[in-house]
Amino acid sequence: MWKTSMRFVLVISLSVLLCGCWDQRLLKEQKLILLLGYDLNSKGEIITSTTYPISKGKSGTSNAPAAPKSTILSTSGETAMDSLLHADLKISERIDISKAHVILFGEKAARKGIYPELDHIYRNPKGALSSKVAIIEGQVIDAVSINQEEADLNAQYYDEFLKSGIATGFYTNYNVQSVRPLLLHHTKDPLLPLLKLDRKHKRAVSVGMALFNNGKMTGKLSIPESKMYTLLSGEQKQKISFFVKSSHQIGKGRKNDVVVEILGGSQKTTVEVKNKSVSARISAKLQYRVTEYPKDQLTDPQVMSKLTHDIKTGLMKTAESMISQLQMANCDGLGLEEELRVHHNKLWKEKYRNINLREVPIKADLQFEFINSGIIN
Amino acid sequence: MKIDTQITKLQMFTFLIQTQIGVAFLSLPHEIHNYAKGDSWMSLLLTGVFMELFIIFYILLTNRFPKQHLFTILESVLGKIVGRCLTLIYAGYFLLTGTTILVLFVSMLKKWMLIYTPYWVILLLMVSIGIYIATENLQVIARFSFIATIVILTFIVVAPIAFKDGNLHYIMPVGDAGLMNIINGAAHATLAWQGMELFLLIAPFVISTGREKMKVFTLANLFITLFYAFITFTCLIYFSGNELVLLPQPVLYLLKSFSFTIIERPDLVLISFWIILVGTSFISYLYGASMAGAFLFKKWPRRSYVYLSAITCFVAALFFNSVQEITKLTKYVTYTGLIFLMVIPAALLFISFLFQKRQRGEIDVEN
Amino acid sequence: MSHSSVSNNENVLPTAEDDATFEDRAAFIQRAFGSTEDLMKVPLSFNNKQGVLFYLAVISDLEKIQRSILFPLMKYRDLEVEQIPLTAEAKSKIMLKDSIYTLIQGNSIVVLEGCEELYSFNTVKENTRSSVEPDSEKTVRGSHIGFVENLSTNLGFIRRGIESRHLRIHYERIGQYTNNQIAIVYIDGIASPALVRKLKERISTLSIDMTFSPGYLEELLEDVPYSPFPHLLYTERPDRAIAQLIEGRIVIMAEGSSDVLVLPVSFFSFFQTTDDYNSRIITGSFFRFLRLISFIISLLLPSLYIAVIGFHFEIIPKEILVLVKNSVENIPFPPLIEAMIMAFTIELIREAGIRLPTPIGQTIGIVGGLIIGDAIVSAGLVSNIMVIVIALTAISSFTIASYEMSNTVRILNYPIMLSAATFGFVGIIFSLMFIVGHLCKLESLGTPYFTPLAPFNIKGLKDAIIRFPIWLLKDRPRELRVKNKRRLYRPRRWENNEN
Repeated sequence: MWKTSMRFVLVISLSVLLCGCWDQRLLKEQKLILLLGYDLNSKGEIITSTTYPISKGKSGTSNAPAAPKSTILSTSGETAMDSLLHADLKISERIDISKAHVILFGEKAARKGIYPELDHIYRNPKGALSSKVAIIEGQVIDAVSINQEEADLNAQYYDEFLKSGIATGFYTNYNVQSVRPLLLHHTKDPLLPLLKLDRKHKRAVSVGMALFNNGKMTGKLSIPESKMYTLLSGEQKQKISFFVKSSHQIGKGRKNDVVVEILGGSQKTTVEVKNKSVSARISAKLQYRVTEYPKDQLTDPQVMSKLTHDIKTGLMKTAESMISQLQMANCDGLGLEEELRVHHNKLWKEKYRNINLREVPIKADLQFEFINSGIIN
Repeated sequence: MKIDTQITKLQMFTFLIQTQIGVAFLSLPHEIHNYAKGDSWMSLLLTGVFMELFIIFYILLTNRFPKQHLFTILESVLGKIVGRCLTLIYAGYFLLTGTTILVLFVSMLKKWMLIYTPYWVILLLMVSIGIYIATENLQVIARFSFIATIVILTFIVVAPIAFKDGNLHYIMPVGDAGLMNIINGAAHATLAWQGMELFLLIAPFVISTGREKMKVFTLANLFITLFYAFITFTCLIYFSGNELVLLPQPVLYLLKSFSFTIIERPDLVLISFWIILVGTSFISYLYGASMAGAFLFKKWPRRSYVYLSAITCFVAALFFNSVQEITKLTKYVTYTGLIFLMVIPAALLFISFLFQKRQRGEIDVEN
Repeated sequence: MSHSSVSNNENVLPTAEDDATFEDRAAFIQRAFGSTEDLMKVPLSFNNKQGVLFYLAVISDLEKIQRSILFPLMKYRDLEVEQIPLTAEAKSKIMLKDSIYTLIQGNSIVVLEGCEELYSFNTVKENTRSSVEPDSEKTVRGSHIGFVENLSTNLGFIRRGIESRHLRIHYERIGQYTNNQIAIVYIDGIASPALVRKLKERISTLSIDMTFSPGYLEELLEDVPYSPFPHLLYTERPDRAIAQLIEGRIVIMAEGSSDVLVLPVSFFSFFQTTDDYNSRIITGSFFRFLRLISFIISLLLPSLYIAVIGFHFEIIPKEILVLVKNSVENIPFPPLIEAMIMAFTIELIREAGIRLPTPIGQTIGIVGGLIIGDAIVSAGLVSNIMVIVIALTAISSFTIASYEMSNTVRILNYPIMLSAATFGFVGIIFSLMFIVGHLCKLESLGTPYFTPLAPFNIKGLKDAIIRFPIWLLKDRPRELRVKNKRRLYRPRRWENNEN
């Protein structure tokens, strides 16, 4: 008994000792690419911009870890992986993209479709499926090499930037994996965060969301429209604030514009079919509170009813412009085709595969309910 | 029968589910989805119901021969020569299944975790753990299976996280695939139930009555059916149809896309856990093959047949490792599996009914 | 006293006949001991008979010789020896062939003219230290008594703890030359007779020249001696031994050892302490659970770290990734070597500290722990995270209640680290499978070692991973196949009365 198990131990330890560690990839021997940007150059090649942390000049015997610094590398190639292979030529250690926090796409690249660039991440067993995706208005290289002051590493900066954007409700919460079915499965389209750079102030700025159709970027939403989208698509139902300009300017004194914050509500997308023609209706019941109203005296019923009316018309306008933007871009972010496939399967198969949203009338119907006005009236 | 080698009902339950849940379940949603699309989960439920029928056959058979295991039943029903020949074929089948398990396991591990590690090294690891445990008596194997069951629980606990990002619309409209496709999918799912036939081997060692065995066996089947259906359902609502076509191991892909605060990539942990599930299946088949060997040639103890079978599987797995061969092997095992899982037990039952054969007197079985 | 092992000595004895003359008998004794100089021979005359008193000076109590031999012999000069009033134990009649053996134990022998038998007087020198709390099993609450090096004192502790007529003590002597007395203690009516028989059988067939500690016995009695896991439990605490006896286990005690052996035990016995039962239910359970967790930590932490750093760093949360990366960036060694250096250093410190006197031991701890730890990090030989990992591992291994088990864990660390460095997580899982498979295989005196987990026993789990309230621990462990399964009936009966 002992002899046999001894033999096994021997065989295993021999094989271990003789052959070594095939799959070992030591952390210290990798350059961890934390931020990845894809863009197209004029020749149609893919430019990949990467940043990775370097630990330079460890401060001697002091035990406090030095603040990490990152450096930037930009290479071009025929495909995303090809350009990374080129990057490998220029880096002292092996490159590793399994810990990428954020993947940025230039607008130009996004308009040609983002799935091909992500393919190598999906295919790699170590691919970073949970990294976030965002679109940059302009050149990605600028975004990657931004000299921001808020975080140690640019990757962290964008990660936090997008995270807070999601929390505030103007971005959808997609990562590499969750965007994938929408890129492949054409009954719903994704919307991805859109940023731009304010080079003067060394910051990134949110400008809204990029609209996609069949995996390609086709349009943009502004910030209020993005907020309205997250609200009406059911992505998020809380913590979204809107500024509404009132049409009833009373006197010249204080402004009576209002900022409301949505506290909750219910939302429903219905697709109606009449005589084989489709129309959609997005209805939402939203509860809100007023977070700013310089005019005060919200207890006055007259003021209140006027205000409610203002809020309703103001936000309806935003919703309508959001819908028309979606329609223009033919971006089915609200999942109308999916509704159609699920509830009117036959009709969908016959007629509405790859629905053209421009031909579908979409109506928004918003109801508002006042909850409170903060801790003063 | 020695008391030492008897196992309890719970151990029988865990032994059965551990034998059945092995390599196949990671790719199950993908395989079935090829046929039944969004209704794959119904296919699996259907297979479960269908398998229950065979469970009744198995139980009827073992009740007629309560103190005999598969090979002695073969001998008493079909006579010494035919019975022994069939035992030999069974041994071959167990070895074939063991080899398939090894081949699939290594190819998946090489895809997902150890890309550059040589084929034979991973094979050697699995074979050595197989030998280490399969040389022991049934009781130790059953104890090991019980502990390995904790791993299945982790899968059950982790998988529902997908519901948060899942989209029920993917599986709607229900019944879209059509009945024929669902049945077709169900037929292809039987491979995942392979391992059930080992019940005939361990049945005489379980301390319980025939009725209790029926209950435990049904429970095991229920567990497996629900487990498969649950995992498949989770994958179906997490991945769209177009995606599932691209993902040969959707269960792992599902785990890969999760991310927790402390463990950012839970799939690495769970693939490692999955190795345990494969290990238990392999051990069970080694046990089956060595039982057959020890029954045929009583000269050597069962232990030496474990070595022999493990080495056979190892060598066979070294030869069949290209992609085409793996698909061929899997196909082959599925069809032979159908024979050994269903045809032979049903035929045995039929013959024993026809010729009124049942166990006479006490026949001692050893393991 | 048992004479069963005397036969062992016969081959070295010159032949003797009981009907030999008084001088011959005295000469026989003298001859048996040869030239040893501690054999004392005192001629005396009693009842007008010539006599000789023999004793071995080094192990006999001279005071006792005075008091229970010389004084009475003076006082009752004209009585027969049988008639001298002394307790049964203090005086007995023996045959000549047994005399040598009796002398070796520290008794004195009187050879009298005209008497066929010899008289043996109990003059054994009792040199025991007083009972102190055992260092290796300290408790906060509860008794602070520990076993001592004297068998009868130790048995006394047990007898005093279990005042029941069912307590059985069975003496055996083993060791061809050392002839140590050992006692097998169990409770009749609880302990499984089959187990007791099995143990007695095992002990009676032992053939060895010496046993000086239970460690010897352990190796001789174990089912799988090569296993890294201890499958007999050592304890120095009478209360623990008593509790184990009442659960249906068997205790082996040996003369000259303050450790007693408990068997059969399961894996989880090594995580139980007396404090668990002395503290409140919730805290007791928490500490029990903590110990099990610490077992897992100390078993896996270094290898997990090696696997993560060397294979699967994508598992590190992104918030600390850069921190970890910076920490390992300039380390010259691969993580396995790094871990080996640190783990080995910790073992050195432990081993160095254990044998040194306490004040120096503490210094070693400080030098080793603080200075080496700090210097090795600033020298850049080992990353500071590795120091944390190894230190945590060492600390968790010391939380395990049993010294043997904590050593086992640290030994098992090395093969797991090696496989983790070769295959990453896959290697860890395979090693774990081997370990769990081994635990499933192991048996302690024929009872499964990994119970109540495998074979599963839900009732047994009540006292394994956490500690259930005492009134719920109604049954004795099932794997012991005890005769009296029920332990408590209605422990809190007052509840019914008060309602």
